[in-house]
Amino acid sequence: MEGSGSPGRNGAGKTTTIKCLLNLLRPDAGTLRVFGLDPQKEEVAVKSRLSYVPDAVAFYPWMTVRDTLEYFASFRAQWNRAIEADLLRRFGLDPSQKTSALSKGQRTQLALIAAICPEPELLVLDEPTSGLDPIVRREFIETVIGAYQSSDPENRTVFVSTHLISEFEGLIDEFTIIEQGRELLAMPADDARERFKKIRVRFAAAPGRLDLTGALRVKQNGREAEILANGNSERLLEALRAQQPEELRCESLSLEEIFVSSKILTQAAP
Amino acid sequence: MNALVRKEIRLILPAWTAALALAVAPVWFISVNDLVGWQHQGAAIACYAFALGAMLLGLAPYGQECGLGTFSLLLAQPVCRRRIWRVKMIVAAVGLVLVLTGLAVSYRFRIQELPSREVIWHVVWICGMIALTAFAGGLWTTLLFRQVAAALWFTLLAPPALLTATSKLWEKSSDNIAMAGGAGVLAVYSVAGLFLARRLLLRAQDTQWTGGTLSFPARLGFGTRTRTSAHTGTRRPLGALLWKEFYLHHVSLLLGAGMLLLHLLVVVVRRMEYDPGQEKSSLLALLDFW
Repeated sequence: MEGSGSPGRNGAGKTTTIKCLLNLLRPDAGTLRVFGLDPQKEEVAVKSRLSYVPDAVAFYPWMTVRDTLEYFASFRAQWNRAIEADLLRRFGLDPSQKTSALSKGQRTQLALIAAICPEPELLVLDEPTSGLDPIVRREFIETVIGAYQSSDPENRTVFVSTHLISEFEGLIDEFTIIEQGRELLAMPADDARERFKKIRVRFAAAPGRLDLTGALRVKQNGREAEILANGNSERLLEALRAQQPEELRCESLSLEEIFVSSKILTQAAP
Repeated sequence: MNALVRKEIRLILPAWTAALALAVAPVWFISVNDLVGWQHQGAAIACYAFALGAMLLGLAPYGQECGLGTFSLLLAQPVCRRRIWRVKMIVAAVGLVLVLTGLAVSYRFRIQELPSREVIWHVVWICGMIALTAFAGGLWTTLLFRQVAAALWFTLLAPPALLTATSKLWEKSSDNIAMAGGAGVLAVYSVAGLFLARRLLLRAQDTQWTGGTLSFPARLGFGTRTRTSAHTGTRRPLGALLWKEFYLHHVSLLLGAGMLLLHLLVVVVRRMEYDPGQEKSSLLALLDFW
């Protein structure tokens, strides 16, 4: 399974990108391909291979949970009843309950069940955990993604648009940071963790101004300093060791830190 | 039964029930003498009520989806948009035919003595035309505006406005020609409305026709005022609140002003075009609604 994340600030264009993938919006310029197909010309072929969970989930209020799932199943060539039963049980959703009586979290859970049961090749999630409490959020990530992955791990891709990068970090193999509708930074998550490092250093006495050529950013506060490195952490560590620090630590940036610092990282990318 | 068809039936059920009630109730509550002959007020009321019902049926298939927030959900499903259109049209058309049947059956039971075959065909023709016009209007307006309130007003206003605007073409012709002309206008409007609605659905995006918020043109100076920090110190909360409210509702205000103009236009043209006391043809009697 491959997980792809699209972090971006509010208004960056994450939802717009997703809607373009689904032919719910037409791009002003450029071309778009999903599974090598044009979503505008081969809309049904594209949509039958993916499932989408929008940020604001709405259902027909007169339908029960069971009716809603039957309705969605009617559009699909395949529907995994075992996964449906398992997820209904895990989420504690009553199939005879009307959707109008569901809470926001339960509606999202129902939308996720409807998205996973057809076993699509691509699962598109737009802010799937917004509005959910931390327990449900964690459960959602573990349960839903687990259920999705278990069916056919080799041919499953999850495309997540989210602000909560830290919660999805373990699932993201590749990410694309979007800024004002454009790709700011795209790379495999492991490569990013390998490349972008954060070095923390503490000296016995304030060292004066640190001169570290090649560092992306140096934040100095008295005896302590934090340095951002872009693929040159070893060289910077050597330079710092030469100054005999009291403590020296180097760790990979988390995806959230990469996202927060993305402008600095891309400006100085080698 | 197919889940999509079942959903569609349930979706338009409230509108269909209202349409049936609107079509049938006046027939039973208005005195029989008032119902026979289109020149009578009772017949006109029954006609308007039926038109309103047909319009509700036209607004329901897409208006309900927009109102419930399920339109995007529907478009996101792996189903051909032509199929969505077909299912919605078939279900709504069957609903409309059932309403027409309900109206016809009510008339048959209420009026013991049937009028001539010519009069019956006349009534069927008028009702069919009204149904088609109101239904098509409801469809294209909801798909264009994605707002039932705006769609309702345009569905109500567009046909009378069109009839009024084109009435000059046959003002010196006989009643029959005027009727045929008016019917032609409504037929063209209805067919064009259906084609437009279909096109709007096939090309529908997850946004209204404006693609966002309507704004006053910048050259009119609305919303383009920039203030320096020196001005922000002025405390004028009432003015700021009023300006905010005005700006918040400016699209509604613009639409309202447009509607008012249309109303006034219809009133003025009606006064100029024909004498209200004079017996009118059934089609022109529709203008009395306004």
